[in-house]
Amino acid sequence: MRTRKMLPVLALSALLALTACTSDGAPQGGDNGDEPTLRVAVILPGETTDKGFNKTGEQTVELLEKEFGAEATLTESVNPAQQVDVYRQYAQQGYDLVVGWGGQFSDGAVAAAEEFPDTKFLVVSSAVENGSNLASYDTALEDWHFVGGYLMGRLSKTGVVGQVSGQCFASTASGQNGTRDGAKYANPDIEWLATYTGDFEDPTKAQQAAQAMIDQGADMLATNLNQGVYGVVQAAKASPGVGVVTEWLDNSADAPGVILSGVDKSYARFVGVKVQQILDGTWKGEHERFFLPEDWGPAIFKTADIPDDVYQDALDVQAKIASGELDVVRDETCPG
Amino acid sequence: MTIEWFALLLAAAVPLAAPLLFAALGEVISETAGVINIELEGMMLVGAFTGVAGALMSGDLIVAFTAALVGGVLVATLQGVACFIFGANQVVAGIVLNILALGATTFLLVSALGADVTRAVVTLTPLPIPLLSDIPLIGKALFSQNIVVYLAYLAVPVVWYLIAKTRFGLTLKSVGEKPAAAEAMGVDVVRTRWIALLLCGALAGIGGGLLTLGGLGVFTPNITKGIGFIALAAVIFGRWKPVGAFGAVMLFSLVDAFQIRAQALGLPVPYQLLVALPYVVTLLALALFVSKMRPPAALAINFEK
Repeated sequence: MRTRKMLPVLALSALLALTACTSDGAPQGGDNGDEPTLRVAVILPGETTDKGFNKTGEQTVELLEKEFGAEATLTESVNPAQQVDVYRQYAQQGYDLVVGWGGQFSDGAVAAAEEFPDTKFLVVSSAVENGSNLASYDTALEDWHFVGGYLMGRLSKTGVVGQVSGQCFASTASGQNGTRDGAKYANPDIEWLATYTGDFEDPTKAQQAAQAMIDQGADMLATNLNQGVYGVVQAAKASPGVGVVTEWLDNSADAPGVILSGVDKSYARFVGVKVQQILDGTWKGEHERFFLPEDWGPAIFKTADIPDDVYQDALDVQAKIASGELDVVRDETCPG
Repeated sequence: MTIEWFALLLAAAVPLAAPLLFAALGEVISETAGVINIELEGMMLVGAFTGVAGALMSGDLIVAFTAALVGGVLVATLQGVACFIFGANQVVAGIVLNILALGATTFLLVSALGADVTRAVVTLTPLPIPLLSDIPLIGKALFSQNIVVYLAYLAVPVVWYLIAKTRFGLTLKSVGEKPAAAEAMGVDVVRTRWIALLLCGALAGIGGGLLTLGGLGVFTPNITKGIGFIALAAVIFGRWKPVGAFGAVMLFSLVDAFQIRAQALGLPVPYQLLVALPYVVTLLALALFVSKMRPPAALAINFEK
């Protein structure tokens, strides 16, 4: 092939490389002051504009700065294939703790923890551990989603509720099945619909799935999606009387009267627990599971569309779960 | 599964197929003239992005769809410059343009549209056709769609007529089959290919715009999720004919709408199988039928005088 023929391709590749560089900045080291402050880095799979899971990663950074005076930073949109490099960069810069935000960052943490024994590694929504500097935790998602499902069961007028999710694996299944059990706890006769689109980020598929549920009479929809959630909200918007319960953050201002609530299950607070363990010298390189604590605050957001008495009943259910009076069973099964 | 369930399935598949139809018809025109567009996906992605950007800036759907069209044409122009002017391999340039489109739209989404990226924009509303939309069962599916969906289906006979019955169609075919002979007969091969390529960009751009402006109202990174490649496959499966491509697109969309509805019925099937079903059907269809087909003789071969 003549070089002339390669030129446009090379030019396009160069352009591409430029855009790639600007969107994926390398972690920046900061100067340590005289006081030895704890330095923490968080590695996110997506962007903090998602109003969801990645945004709670940003909230973690803010929480660590505010409550522990830590020097905290984050890298967005880390391709899981590049995770080892990103872990390594932070460890080389002398960070005390590097947090992988999601189970997809487990493998890199295992490798980096062996390479950098003086740096601690923590992976959320994972089960990895090495007995020394690598720990992980997940949460009993069913506890939180049971409360959301209960709310849906109470708010549904048609007696049909459903959930549109991305992919099914142990943790997502435990959350989705928690929603189902909560809805059935509120109304034993409720009809439950569930769809996995196969893709957390595909709003077109999510809209289709939501429309299919609405066609079957569903009037309350839960979500376990990232960017896909917009599809569910749009389908609900187009069908008066259909409400959506999202997760992570209160997104109700985006679609008032459509997004009726959200499940507040942020991992941020538990990173604080792990950091406290480091400061106390009680850190162990082990996996932990956190359950819904009694001092969590409301696990569901209140909007004007939720009657006060229904909301209070849901909070009572939450209190019973937290105190152990109501035992929510973890169910990790996927359809089929 | 009742007859109503199938009617609702049809109602879901009809708008689902429309963006694919625009792209596939554009690609039929382009491939008839011997130009393959692996970057069909990129054209749709950029169209989906510029459509939303246009809607955000103007609040007007005509402006938004014009922007979507321009977005698709922009990608087509890059392809034309790379291949017709610099002689780049059409397939390689197409692959590069897809990656560029993904990177550029994702980057611009945050840098140009900022934190407001997920604010829903104005979208098309259904335009029920009087009387026809009242037909039991199929009325809602076929005659209660938005205007651009109707246009997608109207484009099928229009593109068929253009290729099969007009002088321009004959020119396209001659350029795609025997460009040297066409040139000798006084046809400007490169100019004809430019027109076909830009038409494809325009149609694919509108298809991408329909994806975001047809009801979703937001752009998310990589929102096309490979449907451009499905449209590309539909052209081959449809034997490079508008009506054939239409059939292929409808098959894919019906199976896609079916799988997502089948899950909500609670069938005891792993969801991964259902999610894969439309792609499996497309693959099988291609494997079974493609050997008997012959693409335009000069497809993907650049013309040098």
